[in-house]
Amino acid sequence: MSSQIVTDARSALIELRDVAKIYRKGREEVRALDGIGLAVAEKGMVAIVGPSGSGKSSLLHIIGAMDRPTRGEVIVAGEPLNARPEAGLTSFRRKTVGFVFQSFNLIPNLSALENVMLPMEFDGVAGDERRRRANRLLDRVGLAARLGHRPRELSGGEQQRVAIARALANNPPLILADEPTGNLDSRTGQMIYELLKEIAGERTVLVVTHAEGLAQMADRILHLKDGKLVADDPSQGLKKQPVDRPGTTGSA
Amino acid sequence: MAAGKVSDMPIAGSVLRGMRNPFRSLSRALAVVLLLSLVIGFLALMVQATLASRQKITAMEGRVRTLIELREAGAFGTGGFGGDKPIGEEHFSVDTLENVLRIPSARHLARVDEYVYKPDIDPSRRNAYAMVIGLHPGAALRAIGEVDYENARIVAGRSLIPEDAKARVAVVGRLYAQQRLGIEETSGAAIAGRQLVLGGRPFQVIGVYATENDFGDNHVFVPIGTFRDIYHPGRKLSKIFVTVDSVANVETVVADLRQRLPEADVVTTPEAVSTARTTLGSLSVASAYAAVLLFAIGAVLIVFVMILSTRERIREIGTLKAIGASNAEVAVQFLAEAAALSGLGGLGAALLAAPLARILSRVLELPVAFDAQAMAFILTGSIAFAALGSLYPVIRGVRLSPIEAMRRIG
Ligand SMILES: Nc1ncnc2c1ncn2[C@@H]1O[C@H](COP(=O)(O)OP(=O)(O)OP(=O)(O)O)[C@@H](O)[C@H]1O
Ligand SMILES: [Mg+2]
Repeated sequence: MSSQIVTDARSALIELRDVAKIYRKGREEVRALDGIGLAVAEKGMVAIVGPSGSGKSSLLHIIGAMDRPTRGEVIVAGEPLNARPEAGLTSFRRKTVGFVFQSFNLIPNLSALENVMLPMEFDGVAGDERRRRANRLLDRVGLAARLGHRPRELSGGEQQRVAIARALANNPPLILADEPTGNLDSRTGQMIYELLKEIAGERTVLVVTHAEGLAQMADRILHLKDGKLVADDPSQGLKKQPVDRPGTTGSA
Repeated sequence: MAAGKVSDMPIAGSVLRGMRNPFRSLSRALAVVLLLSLVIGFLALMVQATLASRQKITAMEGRVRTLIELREAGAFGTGGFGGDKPIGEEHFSVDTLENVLRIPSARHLARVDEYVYKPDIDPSRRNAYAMVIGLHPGAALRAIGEVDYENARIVAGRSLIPEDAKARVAVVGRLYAQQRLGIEETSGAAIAGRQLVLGGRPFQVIGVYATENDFGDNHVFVPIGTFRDIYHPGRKLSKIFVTVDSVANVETVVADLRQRLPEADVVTTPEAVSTARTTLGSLSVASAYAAVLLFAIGAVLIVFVMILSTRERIREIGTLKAIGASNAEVAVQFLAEAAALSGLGGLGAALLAAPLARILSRVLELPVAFDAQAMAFILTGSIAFAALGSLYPVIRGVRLSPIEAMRRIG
């Protein structure tokens, strides 16, 4: 096992053991993830950084049961995902994770409120309860006044806040966000991060980012390169790890 | 909320979302619904036309094969026009009629109609030589020489009814109306209050009929009672039409008639049907082909639209799955969308087919009905299109993993 840094796995919400994702196209082989071992604690914000193509999204997708690894074990909230059949992954995505995408991915002809109610509908929550919870969540992300608005009637930052409310809908212990501020200006991005940070007080938030300043807000930063975990720091560590960032300052 | 109960069911939510989806792009939905309306509407009409022409062939065969014409022995083919024998000669008469009713196989007679004719000659007219025919109101308006299938068809006003028995009313042919009465455009309004004179007495024109040919359109049908009052033909009859209760009994009846009625020629008309049969037969085949073609067009249309909309929304399928939708829920949503589109198409088809059925009935002279059966076709057609068209693209889209789905661009 080469470049794995595994923290204490006993109270871990997420545990990965020797996970690999290999894409084959004809004779070519892309090792998107290569022998990842990792444990992530309950609660707190973890940033995943690394150059383009280093496997950040692939890692997030495998943790979120959006994709299966080529090899290795993935255990989330005590449940090994490998063992689950397709239907089991659906209920996992429904209850255990909330996904936040770079391009928001709201359903365009549904209102903000309806978008937030959707995951609860899939989870069989009664209509009244759905509405009440969606109202509360939208209030929490500061959109109490925009309940009936369609996505196209909202700004990018507002859409992403709706998406975050939607991710929280079934109260999952894990939120996965893939470059959630990639389509936003830096001031709005900052606000989104503050929101995610606040959410991380009560659950685990895994966030992929290119924005260094934002990564600094995390409790822990994972560095990926060529599908391998090359560094794992508590947040100030970005400065002492000269992974691939020419602009980094100083050292510890 | 009272409505909360239905939407509590996860599948109901997917159905409702699916039914909202066609309205995302109103212009496209409109175009698709319009096209579907046309396709399904015409499909229903074609199926109806096929059925109607087949029914008509069957009915006609039965009717014609069971029809026997009796005319005076030795009279010429078309019924002794004008007469080898003038009125007053009574070989073929009311007695003949009574004898018909007394033949051994009389119980097989479904209907017996007697007709008496007299030429209506007016040398001062372009159309000098017309024919006045007396018959019992309610009997088929058989033009002279038309033993066969096409009875005269009323094109304006009405036919003779039992209440007309002694009235001085007349139903005239289209040609007669034009050339003797000067009615160019046949319509109810054109004949209102029109009269004609027969045997020096005025008759009220109550209807205009048409057949397939000018000769047949040159008669005046009047109630037989009135005819007798005016022309005094005595016991003389011109023709007797006998309808047998079923094809199986025709031979027996014909044999009896030939034996019992030496004064009459007994003519059956199995061959009269063949021309009509060919025409109707090819109509039925043509409309059946058209129906198949339309069905294919409809199916392709919906398949195309659904492929387009699943492709367009493949990312959305990925998103739905990522936030916890099951394959079934996504599939139901898209199927509901297809059903909504097809359903609207069916509605449009119904609105379209109703008036078209009327026009088609006129043009093809077929009872192309727009009835419960047509509605059933439209309904089945729409459902078939929804199911056929959406199944393949939806299954294809739904089977992708959320990540595969989201990675596909547009
Ligand atoms: N479906 C696929 N088929 C083949 N190769 C793939 C596929 N998905 C990802 N890859 C490859 O796997 C590697 C990791 O991709 P991934 O999307 O995880 O990178 P990333 O770190 O998220 O990059 P970025 O910062 O650009 O989003 C890349 O080399 C990519 O080309
Ligand atoms: Mg990525």
